[in-house]
Amino acid sequence: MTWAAMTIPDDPADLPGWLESQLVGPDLGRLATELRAVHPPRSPAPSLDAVLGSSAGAVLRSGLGGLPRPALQVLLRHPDLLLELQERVLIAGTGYWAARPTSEEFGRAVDRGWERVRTAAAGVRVEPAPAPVRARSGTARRFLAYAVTSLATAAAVLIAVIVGLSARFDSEKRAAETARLDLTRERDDARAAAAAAEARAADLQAKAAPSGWGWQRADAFPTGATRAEYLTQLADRAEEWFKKRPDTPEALARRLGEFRQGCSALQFAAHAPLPEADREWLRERCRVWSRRFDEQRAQVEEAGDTAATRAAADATVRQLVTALRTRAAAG
Amino acid sequence: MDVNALYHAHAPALLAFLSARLPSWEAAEDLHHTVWVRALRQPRELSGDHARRWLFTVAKNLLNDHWRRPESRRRKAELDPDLPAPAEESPDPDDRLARLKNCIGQLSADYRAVVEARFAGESSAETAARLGIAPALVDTRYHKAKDRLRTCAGEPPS
Repeated sequence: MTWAAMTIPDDPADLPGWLESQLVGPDLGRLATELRAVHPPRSPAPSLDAVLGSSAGAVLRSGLGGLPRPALQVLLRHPDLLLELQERVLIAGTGYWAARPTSEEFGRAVDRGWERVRTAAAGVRVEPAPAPVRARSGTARRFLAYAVTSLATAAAVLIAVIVGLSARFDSEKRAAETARLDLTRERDDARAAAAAAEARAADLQAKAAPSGWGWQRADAFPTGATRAEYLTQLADRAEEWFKKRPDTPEALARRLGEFRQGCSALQFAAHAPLPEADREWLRERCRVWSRRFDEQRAQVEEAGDTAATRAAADATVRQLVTALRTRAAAG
Repeated sequence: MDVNALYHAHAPALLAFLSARLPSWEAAEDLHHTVWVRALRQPRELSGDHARRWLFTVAKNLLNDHWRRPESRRRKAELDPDLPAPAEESPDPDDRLARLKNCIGQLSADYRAVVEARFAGESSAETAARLGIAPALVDTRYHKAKDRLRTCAGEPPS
């Protein structure tokens, strides 16, 4: 794991730009942890407003370039303030901060997220709009006005007529507003439905592609590879687990089942490029991993806790990938 | 409502926000995804000027829920008995903080001083002037200290 804090520039002129990159990038949490390890919390910690002072508005509009250097150094010594500042600038989302470049890797992660969102949209049911409150009918208003006029004096008749006309105007205005809200909601729902349909089509297209992933792929166990290449390829195939992030217990159970079938394929494969010792090791490890996937599948089927089970499965896959790569490198 | 445009306008900020507050990148991506699934269910919330604020409110609520879960507090991966745990497998920030503190504590006072100075935004020249030593010596100490910290934290030296 790399240290984000070790990239702090030596040149003070580069510090504002570097810090801005940290605030909009994916590593601020790691940076904060590293800074905490070196600068333990001191009380009383200054408030962010006190550190930014009169520059607070300028920071949101145009970044940290105008912030005095001592203020930047206080932020580094109090990393909790960095997190607070990050929240402020990200929520404000001004043009300056939105235009800050981020790494290609981070951009790819954002694009990957969009693919997942598109896929998820296929299964999303748009919550219906709450039933709009209907305005009272104009007839009731007119009847009320009529009743008033029938009991009033000549002078009151004039007032009642005015009240009646006003009520009718008010009623019609409210009815028009209700209709406008209905139309807006219907338009939103229609657009969401269109987005869902588009994503559903993309999902169907994806499903039409050749199936099989991980150790179930036809080319999962190459015969012409060297020992190291073979073990590395097994690790690469296992990492395909992370290409999909199932969000429901059903989808996660299915994905775990697919990985588990891959374990069976691994168990019974010939592993021709491997010497006997490696084959023994691989099959023994395979039994351990299979047991874990079985447990995890049972867990998600019983408890339905997708997040916890997926985290446990992620950990298992990372461990087996590490084991395979370590073995490949061991010669 | 153009979901694609909304996503690309707000997702980088949301993802940066979540990744700074969660122990692993996978957890940040998952929670980020959940925010957008909720948004898809409530498209009206995205149609106004407050979409960004609404998305961050949802994200903060999900973060709170995440940290309230017992398994989040005792996030310990089951480890293979024959495998050393690589650094990536201890994503809990409290674990990492303890490990880094331990590494910092193993440095000599001279090395620790230059690390503290750089991690507070001080240049080599400023540190040299403050400590009364040559800037080149500050650089040498900082370089060696970084290697020791990387090794201690399980990362190959540069």
